[in-house]
Amino acid sequence: MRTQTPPGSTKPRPAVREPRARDSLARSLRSPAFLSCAVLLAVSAVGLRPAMESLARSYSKEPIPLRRLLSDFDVAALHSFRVPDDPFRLEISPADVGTEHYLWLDLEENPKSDLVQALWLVVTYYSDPRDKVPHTPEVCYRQMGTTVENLATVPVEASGIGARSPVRASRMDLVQGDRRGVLVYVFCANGDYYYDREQVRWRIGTPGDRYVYFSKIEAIAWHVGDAAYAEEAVKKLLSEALTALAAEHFPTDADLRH
Amino acid sequence: MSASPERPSVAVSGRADDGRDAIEAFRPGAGRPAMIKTLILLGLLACVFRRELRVAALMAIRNSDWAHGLVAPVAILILLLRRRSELSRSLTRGSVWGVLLLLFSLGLFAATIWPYDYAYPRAVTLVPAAAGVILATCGRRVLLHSVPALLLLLLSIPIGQRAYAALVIRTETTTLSAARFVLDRLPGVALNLDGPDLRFTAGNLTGIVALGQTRHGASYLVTYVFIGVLVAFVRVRLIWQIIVFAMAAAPVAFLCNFLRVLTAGAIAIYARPDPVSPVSRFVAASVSFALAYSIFVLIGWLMSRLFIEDTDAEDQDENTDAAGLDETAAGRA
Repeated sequence: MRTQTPPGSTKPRPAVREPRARDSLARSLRSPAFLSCAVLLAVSAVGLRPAMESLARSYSKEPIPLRRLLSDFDVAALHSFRVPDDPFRLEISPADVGTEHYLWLDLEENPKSDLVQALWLVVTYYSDPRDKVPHTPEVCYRQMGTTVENLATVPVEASGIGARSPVRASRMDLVQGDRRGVLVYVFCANGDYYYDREQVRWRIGTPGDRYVYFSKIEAIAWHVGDAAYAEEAVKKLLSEALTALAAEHFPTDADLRH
Repeated sequence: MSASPERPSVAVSGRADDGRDAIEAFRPGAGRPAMIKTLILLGLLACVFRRELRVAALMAIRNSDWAHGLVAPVAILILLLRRRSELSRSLTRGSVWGVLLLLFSLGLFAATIWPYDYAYPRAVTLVPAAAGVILATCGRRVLLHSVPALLLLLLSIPIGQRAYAALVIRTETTTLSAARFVLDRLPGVALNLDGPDLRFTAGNLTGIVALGQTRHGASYLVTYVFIGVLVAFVRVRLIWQIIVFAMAAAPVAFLCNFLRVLTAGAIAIYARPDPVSPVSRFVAASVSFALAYSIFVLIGWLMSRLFIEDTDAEDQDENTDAAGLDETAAGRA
């Protein structure tokens, strides 16, 4: 029910004490949400990063060597390919690829095909936990003046890697003036295969393994005419290389755990 | 004419996280403690992310792709000032969910130091952490009004060079091929694309379109989107208008990038500047920024003009509803 003040009434209203701004601020600063956030942030500002960096040092994974050096790679393990009589030799320094463990091979099909001018196999191996996952070929080749087209992923069958086959590999066309090539590459990180460097970064960061390694395996076919034939050739080269590397060179799953 | 009985109470109380808090927050000067609390917490947040902020500042100074980071503080301030009345109206005592969001963000921040060493996601956790601070101190509706400012903050965080190079490779290749296609049709001009370089022959002159960036054909993409966000949110807009802006952002960014390359190519072919001179790159970039701004302003203008009749009709309906409510209220009284 509403009450009405009679006309002419001069009854003063009760004085309402207006809270001072300073009181309001002080009360506001004592609110649980603010205090929780402030404490959380202050502690994080002082100690979170040093604590996590200390953990990173303590639980840093260890390097693991190759079972067999890449310089001892047996080309005979690539059944469908051979080294040409006068192979092209590319001067590579460890500084160029960021590791001392690398392999660069100039190959040809066995028997030789006129459709493919040259086949290259490039393998790099990294095992220092501080190593950065290298630039991928689509980035590197462009910086060398090559036009990169038709980026995609393709399945590559490989024997000797169990259920991990077929692996999904990155594929691209390379154009260098009149020269055309098909490149297929894949990363191997602690025994698993990835087509993307971000996937590799995730794998090598995942806790569980005591040791860490990753490798980039790329195969290129420089061709005339049909790119489909070159793609099949380069996939076959990558397949045989993956089988040989898993069988003879890369650490096994048991090595990684022990 | 029917009027929902809940409608007046919603309109009067401005209920947000807690209706009573919202009413209390309407008191004159009630926003000052919230602002002080927010500033204190954001200061502490800056201490936590000091290394990431330093890297972002250095990148903004050294790399033109991220130079918009230098104007980001001013742009954020402009957006907040333009929305100050909405912000003060939406103010509540905050929500405990903000503390949880902050905790979650700091957890992510920690995880990107160890076991996963990811610099960009680590820096990006600054955005949800800032959102958590705003939610904890000012409430959900203030957080909603702060989303544009947080978006500008996100766009100012530089992506790592390797990741960015891999991200833009398709865009860059397509842009350079399209620019080559167009410039090649100019009379007396022939162009070749060698990797990331456009080489031209015009009469007796041969040269290169010097775009001057590592990722020549795909620069300033984030800057164009940054301009779009600023134009879109400088006014309070309806949600469907924001959706239109969001859908237009990527195509406009790609178009402006293409026109930047095209402008640089035309300058290189016809004005023939010194390849090491930054003038042509500066002109091309400036033209593309002006174009991006114009396109986004045009989109906003078109939306406000083309649909003005609908808006008027809605306003009329609302006025009619309001009149009906007044009548109902008068009847009750």
